[in-house]
Amino acid sequence: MDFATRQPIPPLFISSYTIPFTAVSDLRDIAGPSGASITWVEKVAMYLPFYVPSPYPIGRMYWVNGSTITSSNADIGIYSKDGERLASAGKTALAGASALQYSTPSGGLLLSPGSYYFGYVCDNTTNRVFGSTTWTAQQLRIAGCLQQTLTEAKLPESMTPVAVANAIYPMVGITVSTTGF
Amino acid sequence: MGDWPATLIRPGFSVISAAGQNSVGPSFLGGGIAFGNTTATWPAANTAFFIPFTLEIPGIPQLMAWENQATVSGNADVGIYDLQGKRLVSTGSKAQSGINTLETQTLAEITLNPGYYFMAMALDNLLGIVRNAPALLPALAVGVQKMVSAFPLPETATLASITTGFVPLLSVGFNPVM
Repeated sequence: MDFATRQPIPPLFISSYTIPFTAVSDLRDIAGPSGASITWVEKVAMYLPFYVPSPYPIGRMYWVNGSTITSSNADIGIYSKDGERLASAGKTALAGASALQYSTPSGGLLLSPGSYYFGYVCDNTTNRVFGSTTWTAQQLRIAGCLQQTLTEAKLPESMTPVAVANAIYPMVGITVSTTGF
Repeated sequence: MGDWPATLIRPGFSVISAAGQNSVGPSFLGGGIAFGNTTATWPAANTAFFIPFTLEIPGIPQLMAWENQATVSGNADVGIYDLQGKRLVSTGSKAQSGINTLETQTLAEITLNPGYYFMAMALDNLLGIVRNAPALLPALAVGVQKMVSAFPLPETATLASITTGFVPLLSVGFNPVM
């Protein structure tokens, strides 16, 4: 018999630190992180695994800028578990120090339950990104993170990832909200 | 046949706390931020903080609660808002009382449908201390908001990004006792 079901309400926000949906579920058992404006490695994209247990309608993607934003660009994106880009902001000038910066997926994006990656890249370094340098590159690898060196702050259509060599973890995320916050 | 709910991420609740899985707790925990025994006073008199939470099944909130610390002072107002900033229910001004204890206030009856809400609190002075999390950007990253000059809690809130790392540990109780 076909029973009508009601889907769970998805979390309003899922950040790259939200337990249990992200790599931090494992990483925090290794070391509790501290968030701060961190020094990024220019043009290195980090791919951070996450999952959604129920359909997730992405209203916006976001990243959190560090305390310095001058002469810098970033890109945020969502990738399938097979490494195909589902949405991205494109190369975007940083705006708003120590603040969230949002991007709305073109045409909307509904994630089916399953595993995905956040992708994030910045083309500058000192204090450009809010995140953590708590975990070592080896620990990030154990948690399923990947990286890729790009030629600019623009995420590729398909990942060509390599093992993490840079111990940097950004605060990025998705929200069902389309405005506000 | 009726509307059968699918398996919930967090089935069953008697309390939804800011520290819990239906609110900002999972993101704070992942970011290494705890609602510890902090001695921070309310950062700005008459400023209200709005903490988002998710309700997965219909509920009738009965109480709101917060944990006073070593100093109580003046009055508090707690309530629930929708995401557009419309006040759904609030207690009105109540004296902050009882040091180092959980203070609870009863809400007028209201039924909340599944969805997203804010739990809100304002204090009318700078002396009272409540348990809180010292989180600014992690709190912004999951939707914590504020409003200045918001005591008592207004009918319609003008929400703004927080500028201070201070998130009170608020709870909404769905039983008459907490």
